[in-house]
Amino acid sequence: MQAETPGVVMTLARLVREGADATSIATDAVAVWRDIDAALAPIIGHAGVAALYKRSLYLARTRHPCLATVCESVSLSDEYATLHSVLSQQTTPDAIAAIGTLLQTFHDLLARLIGDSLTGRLLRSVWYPPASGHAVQDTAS
Amino acid sequence: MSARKTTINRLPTGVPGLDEVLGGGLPEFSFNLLAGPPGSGKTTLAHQLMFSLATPQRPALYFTVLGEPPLKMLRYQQQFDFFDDEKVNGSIHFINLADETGSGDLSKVLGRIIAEVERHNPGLVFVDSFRSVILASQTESNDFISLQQFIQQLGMLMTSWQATTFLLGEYFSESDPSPVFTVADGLIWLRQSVQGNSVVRKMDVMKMRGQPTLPGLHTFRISGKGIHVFAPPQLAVPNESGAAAPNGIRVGLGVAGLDAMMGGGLPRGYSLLVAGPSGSGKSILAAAFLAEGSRQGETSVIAAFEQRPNRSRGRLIADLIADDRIGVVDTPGSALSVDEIAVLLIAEIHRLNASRVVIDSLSGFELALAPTFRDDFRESLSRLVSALTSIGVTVLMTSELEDRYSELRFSPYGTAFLTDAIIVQRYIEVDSRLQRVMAVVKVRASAHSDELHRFHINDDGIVIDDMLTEYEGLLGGRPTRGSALIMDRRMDADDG
Repeated sequence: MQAETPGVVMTLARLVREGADATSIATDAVAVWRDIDAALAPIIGHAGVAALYKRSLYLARTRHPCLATVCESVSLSDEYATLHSVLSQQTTPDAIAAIGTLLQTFHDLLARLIGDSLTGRLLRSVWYPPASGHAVQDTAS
Repeated sequence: MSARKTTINRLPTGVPGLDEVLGGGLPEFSFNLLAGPPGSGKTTLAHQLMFSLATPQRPALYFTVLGEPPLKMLRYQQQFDFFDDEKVNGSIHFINLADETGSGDLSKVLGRIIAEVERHNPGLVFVDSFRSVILASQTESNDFISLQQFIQQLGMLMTSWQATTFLLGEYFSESDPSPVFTVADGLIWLRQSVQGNSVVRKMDVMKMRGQPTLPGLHTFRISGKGIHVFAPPQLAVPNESGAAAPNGIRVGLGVAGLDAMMGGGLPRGYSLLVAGPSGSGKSILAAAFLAEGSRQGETSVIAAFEQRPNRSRGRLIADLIADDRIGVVDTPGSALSVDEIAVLLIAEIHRLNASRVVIDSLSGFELALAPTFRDDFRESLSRLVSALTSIGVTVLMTSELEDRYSELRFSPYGTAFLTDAIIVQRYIEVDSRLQRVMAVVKVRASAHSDELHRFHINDDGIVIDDMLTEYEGLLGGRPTRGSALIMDRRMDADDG
């Protein structure tokens, strides 16, 4: 699935930094999911976010078989560890493509349920974080 | 210097009809319970109130507990016009308490509510559904605070934080009062009354501290616009508009000769019942009344309960409706209450500044009512007629009345006493033809004709003809041509 939602496109662009490898992309992708959880869980509960996340993995796995592994092992206590592990093992382009599809699928799923407008409103802080947003934090120590 | 008493600020709810039922709006900082079975409209009412009342200066918190999943709630509530997603995460915040409620520890639930209230400083707080909180409290041991303590602390906290609060609850039983009933300042019960295939939604404000609420069950509808409550029609303050009392002015009925029979027309502000059998010309008389109003520069409103309203009224009335000189109150199918039609009628009267109203017919009106209201039809109709005439309009109602030649009746509902004037139409048989006669039976406090006139209907409408003075026994349906004729016929029969 091609990312089409401007917010998803913007987020992907932040992930794809020069010289970023699959591991750093995986780390940043997990940070994005934590932001999504932070934005939505107060409203729909952690269990609500987890259910949407799992459904998105299920739908996206046909295009990116690596996500099937994440889908099978995901749980509330997982804290996106499996996602990180699986993405880290991909090539950089595959990791980017997989996370792009997953984010777009999640967005579309939520939009089908509560509408584009409200989805955009609830996820605004994820797609367009304040200038010092942590989605592009430097993981090099 | 004397200390001033506190004044309770009443918030306009934005829900049509609800402010009247509540006795002037919602008391600010009150602690309220919205109760009722699943599907009775609690969540919709709460959302409508919230979207109407929430502002950046008076933000709202909507706590969802274990009941309806928040995603579904957001999905379905968006279908209503009042849902403004621009307010979400702005002046309205949805907060899920599933994790805290799931623990069964009410102090955790209270702690989270306190934290969010301190964080957002809301003017409005909703907890949906409160039943989940009660159930959660029953699953654990008594180590935690009790439900009673929880409710008391919550009530105290919300009032102290100056938040108007609503707890939404299912399955509350009136016979088994919950402690929340005592703490609550307001108790609004939503019900669904089922009779046969008919379901009617009703609202009952059982308690609203310090408010002159309207007692009783009030019908409401849920449409795409949200909830509309139909408060019973209130009588206008006499002489407030200068038109509330009949003032000697007579209005024309639009049928030549009939005004003279009425003693010079129908006194303005009167209600007139036109009773007669099917096809006798009641609707045509009603149309003449409307057309005459238009000729006099007046506007009118018609509430029609016929199967095919456009067909029977004729071109002139159809044109006046198209020009908005006559407003039509559409009756939204069945399961209608008298109060609902009263609200629609009065709104249309005010919109058009109308002075004439036609209800055609009472028989159709009764059929359109939900079965649950038919028992109270007379009382409700009496209230409706009084409310209409108190605002100064002149009302014409038609009533289907099957001819009974052994008795003289004016209305199948015993509604004759409700109206100020009555015209009755009947069929009679003369020379093997079915002819129509009409008489003015009553015009309150006015002289009127006692003559029984033949009339016929042509392309121009009703034409009053002469009296059948040479006949007697007209009301028996089979008039005879005087006693001499009868004697002749009897003698002929004896000879045969």
